[in-house]
Amino acid sequence: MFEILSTINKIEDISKLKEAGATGIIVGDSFHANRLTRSFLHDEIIEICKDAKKHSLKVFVKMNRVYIDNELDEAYKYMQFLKELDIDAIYFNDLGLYSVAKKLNMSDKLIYDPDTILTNHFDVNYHLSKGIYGVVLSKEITKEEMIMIAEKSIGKTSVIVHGYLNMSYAKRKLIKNYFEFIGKDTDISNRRDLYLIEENRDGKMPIIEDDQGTMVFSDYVQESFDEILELYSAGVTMFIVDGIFLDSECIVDAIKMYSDILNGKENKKAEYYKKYSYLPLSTGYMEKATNLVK
Amino acid sequence: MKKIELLAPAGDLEKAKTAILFGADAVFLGGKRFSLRTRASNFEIEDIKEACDFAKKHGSVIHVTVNIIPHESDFEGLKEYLQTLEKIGVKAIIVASFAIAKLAREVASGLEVHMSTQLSLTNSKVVEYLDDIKPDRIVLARECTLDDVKYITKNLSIETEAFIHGGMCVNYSGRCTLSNAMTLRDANRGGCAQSCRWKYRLYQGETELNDRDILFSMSSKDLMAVEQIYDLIEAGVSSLKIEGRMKSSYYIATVVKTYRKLIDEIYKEGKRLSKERILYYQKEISKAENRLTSSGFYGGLPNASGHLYGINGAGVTHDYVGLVLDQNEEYTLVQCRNVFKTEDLLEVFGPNIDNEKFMVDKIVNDEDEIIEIANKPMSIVKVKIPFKVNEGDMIRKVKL
Repeated sequence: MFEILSTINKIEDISKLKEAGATGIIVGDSFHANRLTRSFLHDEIIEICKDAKKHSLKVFVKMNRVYIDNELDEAYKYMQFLKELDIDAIYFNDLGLYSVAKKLNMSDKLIYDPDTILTNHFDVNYHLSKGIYGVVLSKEITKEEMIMIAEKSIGKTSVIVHGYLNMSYAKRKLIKNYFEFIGKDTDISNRRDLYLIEENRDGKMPIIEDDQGTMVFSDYVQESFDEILELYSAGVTMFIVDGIFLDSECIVDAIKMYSDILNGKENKKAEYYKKYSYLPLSTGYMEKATNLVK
Repeated sequence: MKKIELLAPAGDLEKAKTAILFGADAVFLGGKRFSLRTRASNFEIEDIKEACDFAKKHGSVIHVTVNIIPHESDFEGLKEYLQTLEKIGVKAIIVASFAIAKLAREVASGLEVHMSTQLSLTNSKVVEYLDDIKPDRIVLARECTLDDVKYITKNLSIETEAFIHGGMCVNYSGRCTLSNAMTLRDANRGGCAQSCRWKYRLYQGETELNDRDILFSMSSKDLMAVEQIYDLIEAGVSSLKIEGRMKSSYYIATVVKTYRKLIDEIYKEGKRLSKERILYYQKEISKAENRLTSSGFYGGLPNASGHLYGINGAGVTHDYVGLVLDQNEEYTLVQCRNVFKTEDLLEVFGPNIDNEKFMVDKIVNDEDEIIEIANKPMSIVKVKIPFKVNEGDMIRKVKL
């Protein structure tokens, strides 16, 4: 059975997401996660878990920070907290978290999400053989490659089907440093209305800077309305709608669309494109392969 | 205690030999397949074998980068490739794919497996995840501070390798696909267009926040860790890595020789070197065609001084003027690399010669004409050098 997982902007969205067809939600705090639609305090995460359970929604927690050794104690405490909440799974990026999860008998809750490097079934199966919950495939491969991987995968694979895609993650504070250089005193920390335009291009690439560094996103919003059924048929079972920089209505509409398509209803892609004509929607790498060489 | 390894890059066979002759304990290079930096991966199998043979003869070893993030179609021929590398005498492979690492263990167990910096390894616990691969070494992420390097190295039973010099990805390595998005060139399969070094306008809503003359850029200064070498040795790091397979032979010769001398002096003295000696080595390094440099993350999170703004990031000098081909009692045969003229003060450096200076008094071209300026790159000229030099020594301008 498929799962449609969505980030959330606010607690009040949970019931709407459920109604639209989501099977789970993705949350996180500001220390252990980054690039969230919105980070939540631990008390809020407790509330979210209660509300999600009430709506029979699974709760997936992001821990995609890249940790140094002295931060792993915090990771342990946080995972312990998540265990008590009986969350369903944890997205991790840093391999060091595996040993933390093992200490808590939680390695089967882990979903390996390294952003860019799961691009073939050999690597995917290497990670799945560790007994983890699942993996997230790289966004930078084509639909055909995703299908090949899913067909040979020995466990659960996920694909980000919708949203702005993260393209880079620096530990450095790139905007703060630039402002220091040009003598500008503006606090831009954690703002969601910043974007870059390359001097010879037109695309607007959202950029965020927070305590964990600087992240740049695609100049388009990924959509996979025509691709999701094929992916599901091949064996991809978890589909992620990442709502960062998007409003709640847009996320809910996307989930409704994917849910309908997976349940055999009409694909109303054209209507979505019409309603959200102001968004730079694209199928991204799904239909466009990258090159090996310069 | 085992002496720390100085690991140098090479984009072709000539550069590999240069690195070895100028003091590298190990050289890393890439084959034509399965390696990042495709433009710097010029090694056919026979070239790698020649590099291995040359290295062995000079007490050095060869590491091969097999560090692509492979797609489904990239595995063809991989098994045979790994077995061939083992057979021809390669010591280690540097890998970013767990599947490739595991395959190497299964089919070419004589190869050491070094886990690439592409995996952003920043803590000591990552190795527990790799218990089935049992890598021989991990290459630490460039985001590690000196304290991180010390802690990880102390708490691991396997070797660590740390970057000491060269270009730095501004983003976590392997996690950046700016190049993919902007040029469709796959950064994780050797096609990185270095889009981070391009110039961008920065907006908040409709308001342009950037300086109109100096646009926003993510370009990092190169790393130079002359000051940190003593600490890295003391921390127990096994290998010090110079980055730059795209760099010239001159760059490799200059940087390798300088770090070689620095490391040897630290071991000889058995203590931290004086500020004057550190400055000397920094000045020596600056003779290579470096971008501007900083100490990266070794001193903590880089601030504005760790970046390049308002320039294209090249900052290349033209101080390398010639390569010694031969010498007899009358003259020295020199292959011209950049412009020099009579009365220029030049210096020669090489594996066995240390910055010996001379003034150019006469230049004779290949038609036996006396010329004032040698300005035809790769042409061969005769000059008088009043001391013994050897084939392969390099000549550069002296900055006054």
